[in-house]
Amino acid sequence: MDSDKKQHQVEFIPAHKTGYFGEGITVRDAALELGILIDSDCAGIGSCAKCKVEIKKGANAPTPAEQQVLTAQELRKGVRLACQSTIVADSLCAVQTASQLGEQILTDGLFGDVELKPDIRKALVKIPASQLGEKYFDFEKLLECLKHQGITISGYNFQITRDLARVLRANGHTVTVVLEQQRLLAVEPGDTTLILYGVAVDIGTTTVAAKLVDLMSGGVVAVNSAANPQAAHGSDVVSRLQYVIQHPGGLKRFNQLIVKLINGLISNLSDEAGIDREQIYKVVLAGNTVMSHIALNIDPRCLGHKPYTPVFQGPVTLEAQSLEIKIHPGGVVYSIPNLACFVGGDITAVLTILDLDKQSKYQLAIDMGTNGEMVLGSKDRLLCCSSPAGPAWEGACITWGMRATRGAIERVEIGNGGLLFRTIGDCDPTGICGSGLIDIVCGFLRAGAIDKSGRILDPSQLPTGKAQWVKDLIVQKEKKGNDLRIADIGDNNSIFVSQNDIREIQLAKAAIASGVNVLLEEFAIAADEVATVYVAGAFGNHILARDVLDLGLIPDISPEKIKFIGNAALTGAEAILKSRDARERAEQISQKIEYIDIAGQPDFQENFVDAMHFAN
Amino acid sequence: MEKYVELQESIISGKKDKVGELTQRFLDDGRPAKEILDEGLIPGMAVVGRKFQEGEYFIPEMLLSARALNVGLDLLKPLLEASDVKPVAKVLVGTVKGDIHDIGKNLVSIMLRGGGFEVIDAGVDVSPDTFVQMAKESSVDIVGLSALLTTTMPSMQETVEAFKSDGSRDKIKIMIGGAPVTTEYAEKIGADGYAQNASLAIEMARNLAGV
Ligand code: B12
Ligand code: FES
Repeated sequence: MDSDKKQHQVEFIPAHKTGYFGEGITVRDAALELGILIDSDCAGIGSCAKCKVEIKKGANAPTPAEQQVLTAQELRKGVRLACQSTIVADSLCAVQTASQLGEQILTDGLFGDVELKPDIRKALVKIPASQLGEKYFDFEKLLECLKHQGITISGYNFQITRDLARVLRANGHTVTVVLEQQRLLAVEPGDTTLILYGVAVDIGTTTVAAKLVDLMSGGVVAVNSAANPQAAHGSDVVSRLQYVIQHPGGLKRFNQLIVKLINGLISNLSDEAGIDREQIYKVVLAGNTVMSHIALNIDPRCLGHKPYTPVFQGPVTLEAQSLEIKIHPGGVVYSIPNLACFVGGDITAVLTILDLDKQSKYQLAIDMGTNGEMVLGSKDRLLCCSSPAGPAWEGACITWGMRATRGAIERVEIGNGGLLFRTIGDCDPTGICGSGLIDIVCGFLRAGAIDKSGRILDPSQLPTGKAQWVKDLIVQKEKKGNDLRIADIGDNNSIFVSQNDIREIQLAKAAIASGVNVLLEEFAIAADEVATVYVAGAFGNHILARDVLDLGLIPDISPEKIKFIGNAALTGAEAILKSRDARERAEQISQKIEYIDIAGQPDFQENFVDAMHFAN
Repeated sequence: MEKYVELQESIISGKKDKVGELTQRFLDDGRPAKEILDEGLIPGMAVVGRKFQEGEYFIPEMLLSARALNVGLDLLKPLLEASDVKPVAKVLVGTVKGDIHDIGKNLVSIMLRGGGFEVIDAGVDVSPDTFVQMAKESSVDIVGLSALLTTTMPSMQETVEAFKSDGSRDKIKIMIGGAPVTTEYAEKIGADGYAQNASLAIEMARNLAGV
């Protein structure tokens, strides 16, 4: 801590964490020091208002940015922006639930089992004891015995030998070796051949999810996920890159945050399954290009500027120890190969469990993340591109938007006389996540309250026959565009969707739709020549095929062809962990796939603007 | 004036053929180009800007109106130039180096044109030096910078600095915009103004031009 500066005691509730901080540090940085994560979409420049906290004691005067973004009522109540407001006295801050990054969700994917044939395996070795006068070295003897069993070793960490004298003799010269392909990872005393675990991790820009897999049975033993703590420095990869570029030590800091989080997930998973984390020998990482660079502690700065050059494609296998990932000290980390600058190993993982590269008919896979990524093709040719949709699908940039965590409205039914909704955790609503937003837009489109151009109509503009309840959900606003009232939450407040929110969704959906169009044009095929469309994403709930069509994400295609596959990147990482074939497929796909830069397409702007209207 | 209502409405609803037809008819009737501009096209575009700001119109609607406006402007331009009618002010607009997002910048250009400004479009991925050079060549009054990426915002600052080191900073006003940009940022880098959207951009440009 900086000793010249006056120190103040800052307490955060409801977490009840207290620390001492120098004058002038922002509330957000103080919170982060204490491990309290505060939401942010704007990298802390004071424009997104997602970092609201209530300063109950010790607040200083609001900054101009806060006065602009917060209402007078909020300011009176002590609501402040954590990224702007600085500590000037002993303080007490309440972090509202809506801005506390939650625990979360979507860990299921789709596809059935791959054949269990992991790169990691164990073998039992019985070694003859040494005799006096014999030329005998423990390690070389072990290698020789392995060779007799048909196992040739091409590499090992010499650290294995440190403890070998004891390990060999602990159980009457019977040991179990752990191998990753040809590489010797560890030697264990006795017969442990029945115990072998691995972990699959999907490092999303927003959410990190992990699965513990029993590599003897192929079963998933435990699943866990958490918000990516880097999110406190901006919700999209470019804000993260900006942080790394501008802050000395920024990469180290981000790397530490993600490594700590992965270790936390691994420890939760092992506790839940009742195993020792040293029984885990391999971690498979799926992540977009920026996330995988950061996780491997590789400076990604050239991805921040044109021409967006990544450092590595991969695949990369590293010793877990060198990354400070806490599994068995001899364990390894495998990072799934990236495809292009903004198309990462997460998509490679998705493609691994689909069969785009095997079929003669065309198939399309779309991952509707902050950075939309899509692949179209058949066994002859695969083409991918990325399209910057923005974080609207994950609830960011939307007035009442939130990630798919407890309290989020995830499903909305409009029709039959009213509006019904369901929240995650079946509790009182605190906001709306992606699937809820999509339901709302499509529901009101069908009810006629939103027109094709995306405008929320005035009640008087609805046909006279229209049910009164639809009109009652429209809140007319002077000079601002109307709101759609979704849920009342007391104090005369309600959760609503504004005209501006609809515009954000239009931009996000146009980004995806225009990316799809670029791919279709490149193949010179019509949408109905596509046999299957796979949609992946972390919206909170499955979205309906009908909604995909009404939004106009994909041009006319029959709804049976659309399949929702949830968090497919994690499922893909699991497959790669479990099966050598899947891993080899991932590597082949990464070599074979072509990339197209949609920004370079001459008529892209027109394509994009045309895609803004809804299809319904 | 009553007789320009239909022309205004054609701009508002983005009917470019109708705008062309009506503008030509007014010219044939001997109406001065300046009058058609001030009474027909500009008020029409002002309504479009208002509708955009109030959420009724979105980008596609705005671009339709823009296309209609351009048809009208193209017919008037030679006559305006011949009769030596001065624009409100000259503005150079461009997206800064490293950034190719231009939809926002294009909307700003359109609204400025529709507000009676002469607009020179520097395009996208424009380096600080190019801005300085183009501003000089066309002796513009205002330079508008657009950036949509957090990572390209610093090139706004570099552009302001380039004008300073060139010595032409005092001759022009600089306004900036784009989704990640804020008033504070404008102040911080020493720009003269910031506008949140294309309609407010006209107000800002008018202020800066002192009209
Ligand atoms: C369309 C789009 C693209 C298109 C651009 C097409 C084009 N010809 O413009 C393409 C696909 C090429 C693209 C590429 C990229 N994009 Co992009 N893109 C968008 C998107 C979806 C919409 C932007 C837009 O047009 N908005 C509509 C216009 C009307 O709004 P606006 O620009 O803000 O303009 C208004 C005001 O700001 C103001 N204004 C604008 N300029 C000016 C100037 C002045 C002087 C004034 C006064 C006012 C003013 O007036 C305008 C009208 O009211 C946004 C996401 C989003 N939802 O916003 C991402 C977004 C901007 N892109 C993003 C990214 C990351 C990229 C890429 C790096 C990603 C990639 N996968 O390659 C590349 C970078 C390319 C490059 N070198 O610039 C990120 C930026 C994140 C960040 N923190 O910086 C965003 C926010 C998406 C996201 N969250 O991930 N993108
Ligand atoms: S306003 Fe504080 S992080 Fe965006």
